[in-house]
Order: sequence, then C-alpha cells, then structure tokens
Amino acid sequence: MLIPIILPVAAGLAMFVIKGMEERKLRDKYVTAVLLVCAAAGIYIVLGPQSQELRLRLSENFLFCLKADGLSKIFLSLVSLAWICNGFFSFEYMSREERPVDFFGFYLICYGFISGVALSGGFSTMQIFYIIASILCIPLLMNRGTNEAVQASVYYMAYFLIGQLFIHFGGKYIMKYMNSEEFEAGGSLNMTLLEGNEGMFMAMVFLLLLGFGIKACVFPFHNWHKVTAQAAPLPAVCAISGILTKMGVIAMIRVTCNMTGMGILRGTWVQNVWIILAVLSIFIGAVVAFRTTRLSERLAYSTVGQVGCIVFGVAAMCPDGMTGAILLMIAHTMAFLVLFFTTGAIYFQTGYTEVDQLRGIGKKIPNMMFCFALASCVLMGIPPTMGFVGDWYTTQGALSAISGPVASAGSAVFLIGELFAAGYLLPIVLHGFFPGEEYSLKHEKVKVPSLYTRIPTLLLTGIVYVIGFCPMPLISFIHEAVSAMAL
Amino acid sequence: MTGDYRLLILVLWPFAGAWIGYLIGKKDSTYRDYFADFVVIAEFVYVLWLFPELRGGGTTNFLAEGFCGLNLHLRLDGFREIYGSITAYIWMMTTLISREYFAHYQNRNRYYLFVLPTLGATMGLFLSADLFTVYLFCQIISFTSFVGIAHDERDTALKAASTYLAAEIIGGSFIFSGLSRLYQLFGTLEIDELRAAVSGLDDRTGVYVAGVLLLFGFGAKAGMFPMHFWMGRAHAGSPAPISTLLSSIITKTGLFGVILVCANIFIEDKAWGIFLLVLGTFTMLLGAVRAIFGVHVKRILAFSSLSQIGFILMGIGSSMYLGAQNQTAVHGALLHMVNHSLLKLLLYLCAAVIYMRTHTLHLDDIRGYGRGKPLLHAAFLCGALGLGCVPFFNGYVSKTLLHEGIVECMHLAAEIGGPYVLFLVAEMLFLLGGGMTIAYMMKLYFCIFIQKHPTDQEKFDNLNKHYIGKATTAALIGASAVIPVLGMFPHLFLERVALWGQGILNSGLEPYVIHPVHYFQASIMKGSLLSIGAGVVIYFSVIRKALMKQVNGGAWEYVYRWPKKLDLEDLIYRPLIERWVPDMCGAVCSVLNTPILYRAIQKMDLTTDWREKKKENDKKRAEDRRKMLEKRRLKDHNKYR
Repeated sequence: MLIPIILPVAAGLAMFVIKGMEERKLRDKYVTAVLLVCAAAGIYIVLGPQSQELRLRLSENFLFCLKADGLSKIFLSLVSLAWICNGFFSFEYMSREERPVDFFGFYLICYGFISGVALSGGFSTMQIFYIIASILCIPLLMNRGTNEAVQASVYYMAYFLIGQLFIHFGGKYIMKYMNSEEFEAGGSLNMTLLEGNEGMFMAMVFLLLLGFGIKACVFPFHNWHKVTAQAAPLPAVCAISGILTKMGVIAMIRVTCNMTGMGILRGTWVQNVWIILAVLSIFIGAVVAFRTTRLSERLAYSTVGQVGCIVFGVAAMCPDGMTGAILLMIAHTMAFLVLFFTTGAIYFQTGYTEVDQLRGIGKKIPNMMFCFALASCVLMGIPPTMGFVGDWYTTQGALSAISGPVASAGSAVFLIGELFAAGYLLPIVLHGFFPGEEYSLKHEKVKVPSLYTRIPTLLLTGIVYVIGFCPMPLISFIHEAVSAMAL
Repeated sequence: MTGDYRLLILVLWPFAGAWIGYLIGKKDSTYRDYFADFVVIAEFVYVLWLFPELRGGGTTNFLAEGFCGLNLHLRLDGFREIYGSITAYIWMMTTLISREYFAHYQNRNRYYLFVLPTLGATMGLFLSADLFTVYLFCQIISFTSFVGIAHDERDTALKAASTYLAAEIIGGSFIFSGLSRLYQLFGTLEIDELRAAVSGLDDRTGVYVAGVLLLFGFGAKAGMFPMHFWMGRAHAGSPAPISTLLSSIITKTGLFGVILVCANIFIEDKAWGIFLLVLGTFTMLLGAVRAIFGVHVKRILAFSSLSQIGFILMGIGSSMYLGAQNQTAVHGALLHMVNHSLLKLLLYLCAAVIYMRTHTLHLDDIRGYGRGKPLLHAAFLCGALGLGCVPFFNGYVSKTLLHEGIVECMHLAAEIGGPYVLFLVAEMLFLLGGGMTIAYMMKLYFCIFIQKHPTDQEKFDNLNKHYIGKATTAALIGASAVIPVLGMFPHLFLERVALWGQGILNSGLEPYVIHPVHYFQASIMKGSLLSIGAGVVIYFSVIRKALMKQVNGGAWEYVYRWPKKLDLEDLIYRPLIERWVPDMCGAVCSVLNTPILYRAIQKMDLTTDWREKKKENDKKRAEDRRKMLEKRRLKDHNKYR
C-alpha cells in the first residue's frame, strides 16, 4: 500500500542528492524506472482484492488510514497513466529549461503525495496529503524563476491559503458530527448530535466544498488557473490542469459521499448553489476560452469549463451523474494531455503562443494534428468518443436527479459549453489543415516531434478511443464503485 | 454483438477500404483510384446481394450492445434496403467520375480517405434502427463530408465548409438534448419500443419538446427551413462529386431522421402533421424563389434541392395528418426522395461535365456551352423534365402522389372540421412551387443549350465530341436512362419500391384500403399541366423581363437581383454565432471573471531580486577567487625569481 506513496517521494528526494543527474540520459532513465515501478505497484493495488486497508493510529486523535476502494483505484490508475505520459513528454521539453533536476525531483515527490490523496481512507489523512501535494506544486510552477512565475506562485499560494482556511474550519466542524474518522460508504453522520445544528452544518459543508472547489477551479475561484498556466513550464501545466484539478473533484466526492452522505444534502440550498457555481464555471470557461486568442489561456479556460462539467455531474448527486462525472474526468484528463502535448511540442520548437500562428500547421505535422483533432472531438462530446459517453451519463443524471428550472438551465448551459468547446477547438484544427488561400507562413522551424512526444500522444489518443468504443467494462467498474459508496 | 454480421460489414467495409486506399495512394495514385472504384462497386454489389433476404417482408438485425454506452442497432428492411442501394449506386457514380474530375487536383489521397468513410457512415445511418445509431452516424458524416466540401482549399470553399460544420454541430447538440430528454422519459432509444411507449403516454409536453429539438437537429442535416442556411454555399463551393452527394444523399439522411421521429413518436398526430406541412411549405417556397434568382448553376441546383426537400416534408406532414389511411402521401414522400436522389445525381453530373472543361459555372460564362453536344443535351433534358414533373418522367409520379395526398388532407379536414383553408392554400402553393421548378429549369436549359455565347462560342464548339471521358460518359448514360424508364412504367418499378418502403412511415395497425392511381388520366394530369403552365408564364414574365438584360442590343446577360443584404446566413446566422452571442456571453463573463485577488497581488509589485543578487554575489565571489589565485601565483612567481 505504501509503495506508490513512499517510493516516488524517496526517489525524488534522492534526485537532489545523487550526483550526475544534470546529465540527461541518466536522469531520464532514473525517472522512467521510478515511474514504471510506481505504476506497477499501482497496478498491483488496482488489480488486487476489493478491500485493502492500512491503519496506523499515530496519536490519540489522528488516524493514518489508507484504503483502496473503487474510486481510489480509478483515480490512482488515472494519476499513474497521466504522470508517466507527462513525464515521458517532459524529458524532451525540460532538456532546454534551466533546472530540470529540480523539476523532476519535485515531480516525483508530487506524484507520491497525489497517490496518497487517491488512496487515503480518512479525512485527516487526505487533508495532509492534499496540503503537501498542493504545496509541492509550487516548485513546479516556479521552475523558471522568472518574475511572472514567482507572481503566479504567490497567487496560487494565496488561493491555496484561502482554500485551506475553508477546509480547516469546515473540516474541523464537520468532523465533530462524524461517527467515524474514516470514509464510510454513505457517510457516517451522527444524526442525534446534528439535531438543531443543521443550518450551521450546511454552511460548513458548503465552506468545505468551496475550499476543495478552489483546487477544481470552480467559480468564483478559478482565476489562479489561467495565471499559473501562463507562467509555468508546460509539463507542470499538464500536471496541474490534468491531475491537480481532478484532485479537488475527488476530495469533493469524498466529502459528499463518504462523510456527510448525499441524502442530507439532496435538495438543499447547498446542492442548488453548488450546481449554480458549477454551471457558471462551465459558462465562463467556455466563453472566455472562445474569446481569447492566446493558446495557453484558451486551454486553461477550457479546463475551467470542462472541470465545471465534472463538478456539475457530481453535484447532481445521483449514481448516473456520478458515473458521468468520473467518465468525464478520465476522458478530460487524457484528451487534455493530448492537446497539451501537441501544442507543447509546437511551442517547444517555435515558441508560438497565439492561436493564429498555428494556421497551416497541419500540413507540416499531420499526424500530431490529427491526434489533436481526435482529442478535441472527445472534449466536444462527439460520438463515438468517450466524451460523449460521459456527457450522456451526466445529462441523464442531471435531468433525473435535479428538478425544476435548475435542471433544464443546467443541461442547456452544459450543451452551450460543448458548443463553445467546438467553437474554440475546431478552428485550430480546421485552420491547421485548411489554411486558406492567403496563407504564406511556412513553419520552417516545425519538424515532426521526437518519439518522446509522439509515443505518449498516440498512446493516450488510442486509450481514450478504445475506451470510447467499448466503455462497458469501465462503466460497470464505475457502477460498482459508485454503488459501493451508497449514494 | 449479436445478429447478422453482414450488416456490420456493409458499414465497415468502406472505412477499411478508405485506409487501404490511403496506404496504396502513398505509393501510387493510379492504383488508388482503381481501388476506390473497386470499393464502391463492391459495396453496391454487396447491397444488391442482400435483396433476397427481404423476400416476404423479412428483416435482419445486428445489435452491438454497449457501444458507446448505448446500443448500436442496425436493421435491414424494405425502406432501408432501398435507400442503402441508392446510396451505394450514387456513390459509385460519383466515384466513377471523380478520377476525371479530380485529375488536376491536389491532395486526392485525403479526398478518398474521407469520402469513402462517409459512404460507410451514410450506409450505417440508413440501416439504423435506434436513434442513438442515427445520431452517431450523423456526426461522423458531418466531419467526414466537411473535408470533402473544403477540398480545394479556396476561401469560398472554406467558408462554405465551416458554415456547414457549424450548422451540423449546432444541429447535433439539438439532437443530443432531444435524445437525452427522450431517454429520460422512456429509458430507451429503440425505435420499435419508442412507438409503443409513446402511445401509452398521457402528458405529451415532454415529448413535444424532445420532438421539436430532434426535428431541428435532423432538419439541419436535411436543410429544413430555419436550419437551411448552409445549403447554397456548401453546394456551390464544394467539388461537383461532393455537391452531388450532399444534394442526393446527405440531405436525405436528415430526412430519414425526420421520418423516424415523425413516424415513431408522432404517428397519427394531426397537430404535428400541420406543423411539418407549414415548415415544408416555407422551405419549398424559399428554395424555389432563391433558385429563380440564382445565376450560378450549382447554386440554382442547391436551392432547387432545398425546394424539393420542402415538397418531401409537405408529403411527410400530410401523411401524419391523414393518420392510418395515408398511403398516397407516404408513397409520394418516399418516391419523391428516391426520384430526387436520382435526378440530382444526373443534374450535378451534367454540371460536373460542364465544369471540367470551363472551370466556371456562372450562367454568363457557360451560355451556349451545350450546343452541339447531344449526350449532354439529352441527359440534362431528362433531369430537367424529371424535376419539373412532366408526365412520362419519374418526378411526375411522385409529385402527383404528393399532390393527391394534400388533396386527401383537404377532404379529411372538411370532413372532421380541420383547417380546410390551410390545406387549400398549401395546395395552391404546391402547384406554384411546381411551376417555379419548371421556371428555373427552363432558365438553365435556355442558357446552356439555346443561347449563344457572344465571344467564346467557337471555343465551346471546338470541344464537341471530346468534352467528356469514358467513365463519365458511362455514368451519364447510366444515370439518365433510369429517369424516363421509371417515369413511363410507374406501376412496374416505382410503385413496387413504394410498397416495399411504406412500412417506415405507417403504423401498420390498419391495412390500407387500396385505390390504384391512374397516372396518365386527364384528371390526374391536370395539376401537373397547371404547374407547367405556371412555370412557362413565370419564365417569360419574370425571368426574361426582370432577371436578364440585353447588353448593347446584343446578347442577353443574367443579373443577380437578389438583394445582397437579404442573405440569411450573412444577415443573421453568422453575426449571431460570431458576434452577438459571444459578445453577450462575454459581457456577462467579464463581470463574473474579474480577478480581484490577482490585481491585488500585482499591486504588491513582486520582483525576483534575490535571483539577480545571487548571480551578482556569485560573480563577485568568482572574481575574488580569481584575484586571490592571481595574487598567489604572482607571489609564487616572485618567490622563485
């Protein structure tokens, strides 16, 4: 159980000590080996028996608890996959940055702690891993050491601290009403204690959700994402938008499903406000991404919108919505990494930052842009892709579980978000392949990227499409996990 | 995955063929062209081979459960088989002419890579027995046919293609929301189950909402009135084989969706029938008027398609209104679909033949091109007369049936106290629309075959006898011979086709009371003759007088009198999508998106002095060290001296 957590942390720390890591060959081999071993350990856990647990009572009121239930397994495998692919991509990319050793060291450590979040079986354990993982992203962000990077990290830190405040107070208050320190299926709320304090309790649950929502860039705390996406090196951005935002979503699911239980939240103002925030972040993400012309900003806001879709599915608080949210989470992580890898490879070669500069790029590297097109279809939710499956379940959940105008408005905005997604992703593809008559940019610098970029891109595109064609095994696994959480 | 795998092969074979062709094309383009011909011919033969399966009204099914989380359900029955074979036939014809047409084009490998999968997807769509399957193939068609439309990469083509794609994606999202609402209500998207589930429902508001969403979604593909805006440009901007496919087949996929929705969710729903009839009338008139004003062959043909789709929608609407005894209207609608596919194939082939030598299709530039070219002349005449519903050509049969259907609606409305006047107006507009069809086909005919070009006539005449390649000749003869044969023996061919296909638009609860139609009786012909008269009048009074002008007392030229501002795409849709909606949403977002915290932090004016200072320190230390070493060296030096 501890291997996927301790091993990368130790290996990452060791990177700072071992000499010769400055050399690229050795560093690449080392990082690959560590990532693969960790992934193997992760696979062992995922394929292992249903309930693996580890409990250490460290003190009177702190229980260190690791559990591998369905949700942990899904998130752990997603994290491993994304981390390996992203690591492979960054070998090439980071070789030109100034301080690759720092990057890879913190990258590995961060991996360990995010796996910890995935595996943690109690609120206090999760909180610790969550805090450390969040903090350890700062060195990744600051890697370039430029003015903007420092500013972005301060900004990230400020949001993190606000979130921490919410999480701390909310968590402390809510834990008083829990029967158990661990995550339980269906929650472990003590109803007798709660009597008379419902109002405050609801407010505190909301505060807690808001605190975790900051990491998932839910409106109104979504601005940090854009700032970090512009300042950090691309692999760090991949890690942050691909995985770190999903960590916030996982924490939200844990709070609502395994601590308070969804029964008490269903139909209250907490759910309604939560849905409205999710819908607003879908809307803002989609619209701002549509209107901007900077590539990094467009992708960043697209993440805001897509993660909003996931949160919307969770906030529907029903099995279908939850299934859809998890499917969307997987689809978005993989498709988004593909988008980042392709644009990142181009940026690496040419330094293009504007969308217009990509005109005609498809003539030069058709295979990569074809992957880009396929991944954008996933984000747009075009059948037969995985994005469609996720959208379908989410919409079904929203329509069945939420009643009244919120449901129709929510699903309408959901669709508008998809349309805007088509609006901001398709022009890149279309102009890439069909630059038009007056196109004269020749893209002399652009070459077919090396295998370090192509392999993860093709791998992720392949996986997301294979799952999209026959999602039934995954869906039944998710169904099991969701029913084990007893919504 | 259960059922008859042959249906799956029918869908997947073109996909596989496209990839194999692509790999061949990387080596050698001639073999690739032959291979593409082989793929489409094999597909056509394969569809025909499946015909005997259906003897005695049998059906075969293929079901892949859990595809994309829902079901992929293919079925072969009468209508689907007919449309499947028409699809394969038209694809075969267009691929046959593609080799000659694209001889001087770039990127032909890409063309085949995307056009062949469109065949597979279209085939899948016509075979589907489940609304999700329809949606799936609809989206695949949108993306693959986009590449075909944008093929020559000129700005006009790109604009047309992006409009098309935008329309399809917006339509697709309508379909998505309609389907999710339906699934919410009934828990299934299977067509058979839906029909049963809807009939047991009391409160139908939810169904109407879903139905309208689906109608507009499929309407985007069919070119129905509010979603028709892509039609003109997309047809005019794309290469001729692709415009043929768009007009003959891809719009019919949308109509197929509309038929599925109507026939299964709103079967025998009178209000829905009237709604569809009104939409159809609008579409029909709009298309006909724009076609009369047009000065570009392909645009005229595109708007003519719009108009004919309006006729078909009117037929579907009246068959909804008629309820169980709707045989005439159903036959009319189905046969008009079939006939329109065949006619538009022929007409676009003619346009392609003209374009291959002239590289323009503006009416002024091709005046007199057809003089002294008997094959082209005969083929075009077949198409024009068929489309104009002249007796003894195939269009006449179907339009007569459509007309009879509306007349039956009129009688029924009079009997049960329905909106009699509405149907009366619809009938008159129907005849007027038929007249307009005649008028714009006369315009084309006079332009190409009667008029003389003031300057280039000699050049055109020099082309006589070698203006067309062998494969294209074969395609042209094949496509045109069908038209009069079908028209002269309606009982032999078209009625059988209609009897095979009628199950798709009918509940089948009551057997039809058969009353045979005598097509060549004076009373039946009256409507057609009225239309033709109206058409001749419109041509000589409107087109000759208002839409043509004489230059210097010599040749007649065509003028584009349609007000430029009155183009729905540029007037409403493009600004709506490109400016109004994003601006409005953007205004809302800029309020919500204010980064207060970020500004506060920026005010703090953080800098990274520490890094620079560190560098300076390092430099200073290195300098000190260097000095020290130097001093020591000097000292040693002195010592030894």
